[in-house]
Amino acid sequence: MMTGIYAQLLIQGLAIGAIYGLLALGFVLVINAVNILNFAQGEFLMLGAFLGVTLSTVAGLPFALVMVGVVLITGLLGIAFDFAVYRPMRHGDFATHLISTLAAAIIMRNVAQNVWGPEARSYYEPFHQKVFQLGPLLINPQHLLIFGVTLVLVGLLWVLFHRTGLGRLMRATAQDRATARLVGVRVDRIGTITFGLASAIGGLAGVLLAPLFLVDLNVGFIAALKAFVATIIGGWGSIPGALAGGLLVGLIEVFATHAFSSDYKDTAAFGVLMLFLVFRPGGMFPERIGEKA
Amino acid sequence: MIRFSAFAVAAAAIAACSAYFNFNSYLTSLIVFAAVHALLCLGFYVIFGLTGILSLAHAAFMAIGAYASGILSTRYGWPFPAAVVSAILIAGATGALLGIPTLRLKSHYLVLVTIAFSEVMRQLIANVDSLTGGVQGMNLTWSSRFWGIDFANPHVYLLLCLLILAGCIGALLRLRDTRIGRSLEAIRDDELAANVMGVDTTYFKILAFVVSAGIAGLAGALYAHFVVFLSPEHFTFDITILVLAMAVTGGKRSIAGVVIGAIILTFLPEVLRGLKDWYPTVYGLLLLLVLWFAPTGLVGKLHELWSARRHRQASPIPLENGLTK
Amino acid sequence: MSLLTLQGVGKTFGGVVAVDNASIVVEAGTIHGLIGPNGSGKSTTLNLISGIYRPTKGRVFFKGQDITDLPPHRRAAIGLGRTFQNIRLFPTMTVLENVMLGRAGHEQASIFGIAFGSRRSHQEAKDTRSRGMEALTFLGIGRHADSLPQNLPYGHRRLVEIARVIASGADVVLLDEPAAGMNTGEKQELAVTIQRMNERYRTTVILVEHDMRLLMSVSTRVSVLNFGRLIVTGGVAEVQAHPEVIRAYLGESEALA
Repeated sequence: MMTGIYAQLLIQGLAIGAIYGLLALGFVLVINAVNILNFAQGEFLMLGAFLGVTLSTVAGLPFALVMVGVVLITGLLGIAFDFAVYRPMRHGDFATHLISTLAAAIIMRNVAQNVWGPEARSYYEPFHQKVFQLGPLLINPQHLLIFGVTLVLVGLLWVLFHRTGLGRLMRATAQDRATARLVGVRVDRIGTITFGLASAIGGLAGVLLAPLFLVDLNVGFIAALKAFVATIIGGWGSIPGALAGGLLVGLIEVFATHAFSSDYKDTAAFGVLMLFLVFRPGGMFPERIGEKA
Repeated sequence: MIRFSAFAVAAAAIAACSAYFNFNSYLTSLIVFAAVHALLCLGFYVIFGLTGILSLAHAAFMAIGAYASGILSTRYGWPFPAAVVSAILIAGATGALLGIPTLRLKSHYLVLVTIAFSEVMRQLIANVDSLTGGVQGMNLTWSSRFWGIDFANPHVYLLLCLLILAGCIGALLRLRDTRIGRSLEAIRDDELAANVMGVDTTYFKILAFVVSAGIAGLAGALYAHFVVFLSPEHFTFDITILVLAMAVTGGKRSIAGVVIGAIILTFLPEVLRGLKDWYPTVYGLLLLLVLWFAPTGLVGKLHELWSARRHRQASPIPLENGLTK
Repeated sequence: MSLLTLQGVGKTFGGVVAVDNASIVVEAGTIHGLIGPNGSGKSTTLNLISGIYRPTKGRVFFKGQDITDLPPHRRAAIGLGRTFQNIRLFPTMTVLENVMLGRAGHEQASIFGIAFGSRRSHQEAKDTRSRGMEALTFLGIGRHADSLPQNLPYGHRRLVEIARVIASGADVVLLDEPAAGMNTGEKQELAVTIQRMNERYRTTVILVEHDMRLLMSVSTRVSVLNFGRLIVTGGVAEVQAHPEVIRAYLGESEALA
């Protein structure tokens, strides 16, 4: 059943793509608010996954509470990150920010290693390995959960940005930080909120991802690279672009794994990145962030 | 010439000590690693410190140098000097391979492409296992007797590494003061103005990539023949981060800075033996502290303090973006 | 004799026509002013001459050679120099090192020559250094040779930029709003400096300036742009009396007096 396989792959690709999209969303939020590339974003995913393991297996909490718990904890960590890592280097150049977020990522990964140990973790199964049969398709409810959560989250974000005062302030800061500050917007506070939000989304992505794969300490780094790819493909600074880019990367990865071996799945994603950068650096959607002329 | 001689004397002195006091193999290997790290940092200095291009593909070039030299020695029986020189050339050529298509990319994109490139290279090495031994790794065999000297002797190898390091330092010190060095710095400071002044920025940027990659390849080759076992796991992004940490801690804009940074961060784990499991956290924190309090690195900071005292005037105001001399 | 010619040059950005069919002839040895209201295309024209922009129409000739497709660094090599409105000096280099970079396009020694210390590279390095000091001394700022640009007052930084083009030995120098940010006294000194440079080094100068008085006082010929179009090129008096020029500057007529 040819269509069966492809539909299966499609769902898998979209599911993993949604994870990358969420992670990319986190990047883009931070890029828009403070114009830095946060290399530690992937580590929030990793922490989300490992925290999820602990909360569910050790604390025995039901999955819904696990999600809430992880979101809260990683959100708070993101706020701490803002104070410890971003604010002191606020006036640095691109390289300084990059190196400081990298340093933070190293610390996070090492702390995780000491807390949880270096082995990969097998994860709980929130749906106890039940799968549904829909025609020729085997549907893993975890995939459905991912789609559901992503849609709800995107919807909530839309409401936040377009229907609340805070969202308006965030958009203003993203578009023109200097002017926003001049008219009295507390841009530093907006930055803090954005970091918290981005890291919470990253953590959530980790919780959702973990039941699908074995998670190890490097999962953050690899996922982050792919989310970077998604951000670039989608158009730097564009939120819908980040999501679309993530979905695309997920699909490419899944189909490449199917067509070639899984050894080359990362290479495929990066290959696409380089092609995009050579031929269409603006991404699929137009670039929103202006650079100094 | 004078500078090289000074370093060469220092190198010989260290090597002589190591032989005379019979440093144990652990200390000897630590010094060799320090030299390898210093070379990697010098390569990084060329692309980032001098030219201002943040390229995080360094581990890949080290890997290419290591594997090229290793494969040529082990599978094809090439003599040691030929293998090392070839490793430098191959790594340098790969540098051009990365540099040429990325010339016009802005810093955000460039850094991501270089990271991706590094990972792709590493995975390619792991996958071409017929040649490289893949993830199982590869044992190196090489004919170490040359000109009547046994280069496999750790003390001799140590001298060799230190001499090569001295040579590199001397060469870069000289390069920095010539039109080449100034052109690269001009590109770092203001690429448009450099172009308009007559600097062929395309040529020089590619040159920077090639030289930087070549030096990293040299470091890789020296590393390979010392540890005689290679695996793709040795060349992950963590190596690049380590080089970055060394360069930033010491001072990315100065040759002395990057070398001192390499030395400090190679010996630091020894000092912090008890904290072995927490070592990455320690140097992550160290990096953050350096960026916070001494963004020009330890050497840069010392230089600033010394200048201020000497000139009895207000120390150069650090510009918003962290630039100072 | 024409040193630099713009022939029907046009530049369009997206839908915006910044320069439209400009034909300007710059004679050797002159100080050629380029004026026009804001948005008239003066900076764009300068960037077209430098090679920072490529024209969408027309050709640029320099010393009889078609340089339209020549990249900026090659134009520097054949004798075209410029300063920037917002002073682009290299902040981490000393004043002298900045000035020495003016010769970057002209030095002939190859990379290998420099790396291995060939006699030619040593000679060139010495030559460049002495040219640099000479330019700095000519402008009266020789004592600042080893200072960093950021430690110099604004007016001196402008002079360093000018020293850079002098040291480069450029035959044609584009000065982009050199008097920006200066007070009256400094502007007068600048006017004298430009004239001295023109006399001593036989440098042809193309000057873009907002300050009408300064420009009219040093220029021998003037081209006037408006909305990207060239209104007239001619002598100072001729241009000042030109009806269309006066109309373009309506409301600023006192500046032309």
